[in-house]
Amino acid sequence: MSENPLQNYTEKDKYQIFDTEFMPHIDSMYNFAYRLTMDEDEAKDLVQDTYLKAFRFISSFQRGTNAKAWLFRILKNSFINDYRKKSKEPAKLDYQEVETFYNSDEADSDITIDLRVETVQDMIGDEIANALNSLAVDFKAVIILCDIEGFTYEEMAKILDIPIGTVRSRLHRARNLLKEKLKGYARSMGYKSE
Amino acid sequence: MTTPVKKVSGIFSTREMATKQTCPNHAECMKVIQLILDGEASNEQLKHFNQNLDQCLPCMQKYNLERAIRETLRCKLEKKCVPHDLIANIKTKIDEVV
Repeated sequence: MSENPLQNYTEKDKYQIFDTEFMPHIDSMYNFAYRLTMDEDEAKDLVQDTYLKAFRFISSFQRGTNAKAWLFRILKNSFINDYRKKSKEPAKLDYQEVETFYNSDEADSDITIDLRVETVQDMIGDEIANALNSLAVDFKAVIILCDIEGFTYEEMAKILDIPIGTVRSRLHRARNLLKEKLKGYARSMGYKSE
Repeated sequence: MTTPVKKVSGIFSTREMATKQTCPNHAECMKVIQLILDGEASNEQLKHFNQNLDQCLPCMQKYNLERAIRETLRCKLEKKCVPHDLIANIKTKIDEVV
C-alpha cells in the first residue's frame, strides 16, 4: 500500500493521526466515491471501507506526508476491487475499450470543438454533471482528481498506479471527450455554437 | 514564475488582442495550455506562452474555453454532504476491530 517503511505508532498515535490527518478529507473522499459509484449507499460503503483499511494499514502511512493522496489511492483500489466483484454493471468499466482508445490515432488527433466559453459558463450544474458522468470511469476519475481535487500529475500517478505520461495523455483525452459531451448537451439544449 | 502565472490566469479578450487567425502548432500548443492550466508547465513553457498567446486567436480561444470548463466543473458540480451517520459508523467499526 505504500513504499514507506512501517511506522511504530502507539494506539494513541494511531487515533490522533486518524482524527487529525485522515478525517479532514472525508468530504472530498465521499464526493469522489459518489462520482465513481453514482450511488449514495455505495459511496458511503466505499468511504467507510476505505477508512477502515486506512486505520488497519496506518503503520504504512508516514505522519505528516500526503494523507489525502494516500487515502484516495486506497479508495480507488477499493473501488476497482469491489467493482470487479460486482456483475450488475460490467460495461461501466471496460479497460479494453479504454486502452484501445488510448492507442488509436483518434485519441491523438486535435479535436476541434465548436464550443463557446459563454455556453459553458451558462450551463447549469446538472448539465455539467451529466456530461462528466457519461464518461468512462477512468476518464471521469482523472478529471475529478485534477480539476476538482487539485492533485498534481505526480500525485495522480501514485493514486492511479500509472506513469505520469499516462496521466497527461489520459487527461488530454478525457477533456476532449468531455468537450464532445458538453457540445452535445449544448446542442440539445439549444445553446448557440460557433 | 509568479508573474507569468498571474498573467495567464485571466480570460483574454479574443477580439482586441489576437492577430494570428490560424495556429500551425495548435496540437502542441493545446498540450502546453493543459500543462499551464494544471499548474504543471515549466518556466520556459510559461514564458513562451505569455509571449505568444496574445498574438494567436485559436490558442487564445482554446485557453479561454479550457479555463472556463475547469471553473465550471469546480463551481457548478453539486457537492454532496457526507451522510450524518458515516463518521460515527466509521469510528464505531474501528473501535470494534481494535
